[in-house]
Amino acid sequence: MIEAIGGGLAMLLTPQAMTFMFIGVVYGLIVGILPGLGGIVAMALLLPFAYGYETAAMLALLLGAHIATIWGSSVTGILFKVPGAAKSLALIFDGYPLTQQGHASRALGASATAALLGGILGAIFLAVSIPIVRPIMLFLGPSEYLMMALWGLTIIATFSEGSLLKGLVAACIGVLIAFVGMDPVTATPRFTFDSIFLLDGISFPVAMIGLFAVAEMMKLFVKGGSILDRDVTEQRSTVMDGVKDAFRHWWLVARSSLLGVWIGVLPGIGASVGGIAAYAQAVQTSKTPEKFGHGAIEGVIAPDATVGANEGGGLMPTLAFGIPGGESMAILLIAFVSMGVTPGPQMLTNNLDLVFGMMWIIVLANAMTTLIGLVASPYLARLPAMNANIMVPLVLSVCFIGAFATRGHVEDVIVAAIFGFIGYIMEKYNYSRANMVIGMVLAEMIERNLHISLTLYGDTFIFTRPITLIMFIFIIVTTVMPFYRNWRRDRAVAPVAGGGE
Amino acid sequence: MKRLTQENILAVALLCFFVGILVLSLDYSPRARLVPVPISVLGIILLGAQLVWQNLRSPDELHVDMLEFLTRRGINPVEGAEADDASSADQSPETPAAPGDLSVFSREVFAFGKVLAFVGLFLLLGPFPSVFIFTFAYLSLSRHYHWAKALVVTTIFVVIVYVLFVEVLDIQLYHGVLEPLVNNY
Repeated sequence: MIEAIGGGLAMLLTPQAMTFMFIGVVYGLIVGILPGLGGIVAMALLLPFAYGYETAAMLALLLGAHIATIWGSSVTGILFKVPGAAKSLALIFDGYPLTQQGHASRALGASATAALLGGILGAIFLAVSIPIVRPIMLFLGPSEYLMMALWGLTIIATFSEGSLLKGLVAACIGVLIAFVGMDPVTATPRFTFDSIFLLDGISFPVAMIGLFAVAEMMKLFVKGGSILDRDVTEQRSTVMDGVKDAFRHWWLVARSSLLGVWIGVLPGIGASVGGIAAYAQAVQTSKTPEKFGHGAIEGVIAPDATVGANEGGGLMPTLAFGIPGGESMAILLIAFVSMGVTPGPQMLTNNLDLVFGMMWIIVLANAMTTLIGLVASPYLARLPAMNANIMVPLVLSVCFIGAFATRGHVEDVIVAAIFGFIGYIMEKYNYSRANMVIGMVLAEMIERNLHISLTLYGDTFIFTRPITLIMFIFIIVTTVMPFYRNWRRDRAVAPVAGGGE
Repeated sequence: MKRLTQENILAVALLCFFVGILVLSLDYSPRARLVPVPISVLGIILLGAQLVWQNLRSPDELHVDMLEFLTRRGINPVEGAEADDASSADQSPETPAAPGDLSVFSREVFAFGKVLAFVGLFLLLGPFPSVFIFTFAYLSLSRHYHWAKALVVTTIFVVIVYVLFVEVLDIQLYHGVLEPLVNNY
């Protein structure tokens, strides 16, 4: 195994591979910052240019671009409340308040460092856990995936900014919006009103551009001024403060990275759920949960570490079973086919140096991205100080072209505008936009796994699958526990308060 | 219009949305409606509860933060209300940009109108002409820049966006519904 680790690194240390990685990283950062375009677009566009070069260079270009898009999309989430991709959604909850308070540099520094540490720890966790990952992956079935998605829904309470009822309503709307289009199980067109465009469903990136970017620009126009709070005239912290924050919260980074690896290992879940789950576990385990949502640096560190580590985990099902761990991994599978490499169990025996080569790419590309990010952060942090009169037309323009570029459908521009109106109204009346997106992300996973579980295991599958039952009990306990704790605290406080009177 | 009336209108509109989804779902096969029906019923129940809650409780109780509730942040209700008022004065979309300027409602109508105008231009002319017209018009009409400077800034911006999306990312352009008409003419 040690030989394979060394062989993987040696494969990468060629001028061509390192140059390709650098090009990929720079390209990925630009694509990541553009709203609507994520890692899958970056990899898909680079794929035709990668043929004909050495294997390591090709993989370095593709994976390097993909890794860099992750931090690129975090940047816009932190600075403008515009998540570049669904996986960066959780960053807006504390990243944007930090920007408003004049701590954008610190947030960007923490974000880049957490992503790097997550990437490194993710690769290490994965290397160590390769022998035990396969049996666990094979052991978990659709009913367990369904429970994981339901656990994700319980996070909604955390994100209910104004009122729990409104938060739940927003989540229900999100779930129903995700059902627009062709039902993959029964092939029934649902809520399409005979529109061919709607058969493809509502694109997540387009919906997010509307809900967050367009709505925020409308809000900025109505409010006037700039994104920063009115009393903020200069940056109140530096990039290095953010770097120190990431190291100071090393235990949170380690936990979040482990979570990221395991979410990546399980095919079909994706980093979007990972970022949200990481934020929730950061809130649930924090000694000061009340600070979350108001500019807690842990709210930036946890999702970025998870998403950074997720890529390493995503490689596992792709390489070991030929099942892509996410959309971008599907592009990687195509690249493998063009290189004549067949993913499958033999990858972990015959091509172990290639497996470790890709882990090294993740580590090195993360390091490159972080280095560039740390240098660029002080300049990027100045952007939110721009006046609304400049920012609104520029951001709206990029957002609408981004919405169009997502699928090449002009109807997506209309969808982005409609979601912009919806987002503005939701923000104004305290219906959580985050919950709506969480509903959209988890809906498909819930429905698909529910159908498969019913077909495979029958109507009572929750009680006939022991792991599912344990997970179901865990969900109930973790959901009810805060209410129970509250109730007990109230009972303990009541006599004291009564005595005081 | 009072805030409570606005909240009620929105809640009723959302209620209609969920009822509509429920009615549509009933036409689908049992498997296709397995999840949409319970979710829309849940939405109807939640909105019913919200309507009762917001009309029978005092306005202060409407803004219960779940995180505060779960963690028992322990703020004084009066202080909390004051803090909420202060933060809403800073961040609420209802805050006007400058005293004596247009009312909040007018600015909101303008904001909606601008987005609609941009989308209309986009559909008619395609992405880049619409970006050029919208950005130039915005920068010069807001009087942030003199028209000549606005023209230079707009041109540079459009060139950058064009290079990024068309040259680097190879995005296929949409030419707008007017182009075929112009070509025919």
